[in-house]
Amino acid sequence: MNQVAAPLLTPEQNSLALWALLVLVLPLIAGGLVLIFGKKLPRQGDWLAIATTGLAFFLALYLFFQVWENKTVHVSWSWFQLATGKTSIISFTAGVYLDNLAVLMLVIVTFISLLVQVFSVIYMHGEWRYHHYFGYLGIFTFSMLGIVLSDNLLLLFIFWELVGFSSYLLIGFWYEKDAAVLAGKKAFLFNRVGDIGFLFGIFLLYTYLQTFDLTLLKNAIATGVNQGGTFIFPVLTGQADSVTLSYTLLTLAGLGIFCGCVGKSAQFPLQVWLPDAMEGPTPVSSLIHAATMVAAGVYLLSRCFPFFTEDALLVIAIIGALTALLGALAATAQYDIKKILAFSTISQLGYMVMGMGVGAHDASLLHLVTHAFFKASLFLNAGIVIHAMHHAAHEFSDEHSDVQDIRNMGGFRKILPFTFYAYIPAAAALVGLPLFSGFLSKDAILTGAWAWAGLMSQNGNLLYYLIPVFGFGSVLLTGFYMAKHCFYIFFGESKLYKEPELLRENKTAEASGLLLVPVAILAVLSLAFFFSLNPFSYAGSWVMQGVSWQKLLTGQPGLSGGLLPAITTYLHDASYISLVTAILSVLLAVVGIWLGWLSYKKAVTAGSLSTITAPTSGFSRLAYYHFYLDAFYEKVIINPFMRLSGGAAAFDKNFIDYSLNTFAKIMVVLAKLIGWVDRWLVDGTVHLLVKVAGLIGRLGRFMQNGKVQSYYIFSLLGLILLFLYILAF
Amino acid sequence: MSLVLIFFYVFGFLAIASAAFMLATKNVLYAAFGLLVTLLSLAAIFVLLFADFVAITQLMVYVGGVLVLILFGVMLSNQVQGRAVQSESVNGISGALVAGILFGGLAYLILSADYLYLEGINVADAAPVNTKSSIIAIGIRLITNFALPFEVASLILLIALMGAAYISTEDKHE
Amino acid sequence: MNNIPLIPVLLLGAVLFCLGILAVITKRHAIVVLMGIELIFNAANLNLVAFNRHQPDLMQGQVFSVFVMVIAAAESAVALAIILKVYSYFKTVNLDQIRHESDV
Repeated sequence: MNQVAAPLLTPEQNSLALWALLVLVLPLIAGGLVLIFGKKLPRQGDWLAIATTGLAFFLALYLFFQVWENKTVHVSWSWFQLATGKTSIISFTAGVYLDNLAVLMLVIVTFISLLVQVFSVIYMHGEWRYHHYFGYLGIFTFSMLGIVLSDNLLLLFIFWELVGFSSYLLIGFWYEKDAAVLAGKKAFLFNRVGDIGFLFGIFLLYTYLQTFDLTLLKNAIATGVNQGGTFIFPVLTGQADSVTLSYTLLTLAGLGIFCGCVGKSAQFPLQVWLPDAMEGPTPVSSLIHAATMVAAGVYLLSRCFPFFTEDALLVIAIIGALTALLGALAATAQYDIKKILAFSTISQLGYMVMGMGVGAHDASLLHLVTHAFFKASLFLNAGIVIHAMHHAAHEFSDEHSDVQDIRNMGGFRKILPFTFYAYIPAAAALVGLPLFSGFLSKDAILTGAWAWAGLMSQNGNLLYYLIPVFGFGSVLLTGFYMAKHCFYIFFGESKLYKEPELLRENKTAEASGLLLVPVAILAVLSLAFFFSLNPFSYAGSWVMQGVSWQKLLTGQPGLSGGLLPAITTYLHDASYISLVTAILSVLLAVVGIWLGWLSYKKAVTAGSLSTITAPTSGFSRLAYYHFYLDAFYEKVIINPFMRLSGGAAAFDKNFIDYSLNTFAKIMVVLAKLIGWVDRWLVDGTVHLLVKVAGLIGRLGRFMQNGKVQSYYIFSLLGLILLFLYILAF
Repeated sequence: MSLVLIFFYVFGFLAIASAAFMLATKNVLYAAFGLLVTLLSLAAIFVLLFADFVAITQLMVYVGGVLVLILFGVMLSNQVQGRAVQSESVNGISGALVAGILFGGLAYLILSADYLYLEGINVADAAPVNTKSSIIAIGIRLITNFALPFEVASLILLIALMGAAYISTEDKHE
Repeated sequence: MNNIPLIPVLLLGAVLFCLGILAVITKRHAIVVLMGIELIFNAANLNLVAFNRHQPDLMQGQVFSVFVMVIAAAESAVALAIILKVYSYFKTVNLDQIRHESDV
């Protein structure tokens, strides 16, 4: 197995792989050092973490320019071997796989990690576990890079779990707060639910195809021949016969892998952990819960795209569309500055997954890239705002007001102008306005969805059009909630804290440069120019072309067969779709913004801005409470489970423990009885013997007391006895 | 009741009483004086039993020698100045018991023995009436019949003298 | 009659003998014990002298009692020397204390 890639290796490939490994381990080394020695290092070692991440970023850039549109590097080493039976040995490999997508993700992860760490220097300043924070970020960056670089599913899964673990650490970073602890636990457990499915998917693939290696799996899948409901794979490495697999089994395997994505990328129905994860520090939300970690699910879908059958893709599309709509709906009713962004993230991830499902593989990845930048930017913006609010709240010694509630904000346009101008492009990109990056990617996904629906509904079933309709609906809602978000924060008057200078760092600067520079860079990167020379058309985007399925999957679409080529052809024929989609989405976005403005105006005139309460009307309440999904889980899964465990505990206590106790009591009584016999009969005999011996001994000692007078007495007594004997006989 | 008998009983009683006093008192010096009285009364009884030489020897050896020796011993072995030398009693009950039984046994033997049938005991002709003193007889016997025991006794005395002197010498090398 | 009967003399000797034994047994002071021993010697002498009256030919009783006295004198001299030595070593003549200290 490890021999397959060997002949292709060149020294250059080897060195690239080694550079990639260096990129991988740099954050880990820095993180570990900071975690252990951070207390003793100057500035608690944040410079070390940032410097190594920066180094990793430049190395990633180097790799990017070496690999992008140029070559694919796959280097694997023998990892460990297992003996099965007496003769055969299964060897597992571990390796580095660098293609366009991997190097792109490398750059994004290291870049955003770098910016977020710079941002955190100010944001987390004075935290008593400052160095732990940077250490955790190092571990997280390492695990995320591990996912990106892994060339096989087993290794990927390990890093996948590590990412979940570091996310757990960071969500629960402020473990003094109960909410943070609970949120971390929740995120961890919900991810586990998904990961079980992921593991089953991996096992299914391994069981039948005998390898974890993604390249080999892809090659194996490509050789499969579809024979009406079953796939027949010719002789694979390490197998004697060809393998026949049913379509259903393969669909299940694909859905299993998709489960991992559902957990990690917060898809319906496991998306509830993401809003709670906002309990973590805001830069963490920016890095993990917006830009990188949650995108890992989409990355996984892309890597495993060939393993999905058409039915599996349909499920993925439906889940994605549903998530996009539900997330957007929930976002409209929120008032927490971070929660809105969290639901928006869910919604955008839904877009990406939907894009994968409808075969818009490259569009989905483009959205992943653009979203990483503008969402990170938005979260960092929110971080600045929260920082300012905290600052003011601290000045006022105000501990009751919710500094994250957007109804407490307002008028920040004048107080924090730089932040506002950095916020606008990112928000516009999220909404999908032209000239901004989000427009390109969203347009691409929606076009793909429409084309897919058109292709699928050729048999007359118009239900397929629900998917693009959900997508378009989400565009409208996105416009609505982002407009609200923007107006509440930046327009009008500050409701809670009137003095603008309290919110600023000082008179001249609104915030520290270390906060503003990352935001500014990310805001600039929200512009469409960086992703496509023609900002109105995604077609010419270099990213799209770099990550197109033809290049990533080396022209083998896998189990979905002719779906991808068919969509491409269909789209080519119906070129109006692209144009209509663009116009429609912009129109919907604008309408959404307008609705958001109306809603804001209405709230201002009604004076309901100052009343901070949970919404009361039916639908908004439904949305505010996230469709009662948490309550649903609480009622349907957690409570019955608790009751079951309670019942088990009661059974255990009342029945098993009772019988055990009774048995124990009987034993005790018996033991007491035996003990009594032992003590009085056995021990008594022994003690009696001892007493007698002691008595004799004492008598002897009494006689042999070393006193000459006593001896005299005894000798006289002896004499008397002798006399008596003589007299008597 | 003859005068001799009365004297015998008086001195016998005195001997027993002073011996009992010797036992009863805690003061060692008193005990020594009790012993002195006992020894003196015994000397008197020896005279009454026609053993004048023994009585004189008793006075010289015991009263003049041993008792003085004992008093010196008491004096030299007394650490505490200005306080009477005390002697406690132990084994009171067992000692009394043993002594009582012993006395009972002895008394039984003495009373139940029939001396008349013992060979060589002349009860009837007990006292040589004309003999004024026993010194001559004893002197003759000592250098005739008992010459060897006499010499051995003198040797024993010499040895005891040397031994006592040797033992009581302060060890200069300690 | 100026003869003293034998039995009372013997009984007197027995009494003194027992008192001497009692002194030897019960007294703690070594010198008092020595006194008890002298008493015993005297009781024995009393018997010897008493029986001597009934066998006056050889005067064995009286001669023997003289020997006893010699032995007693020698004995008491040596014993007192020992007692003094013991005293200089143990700083006591209490027999029990000597016994305890010699244990150590």
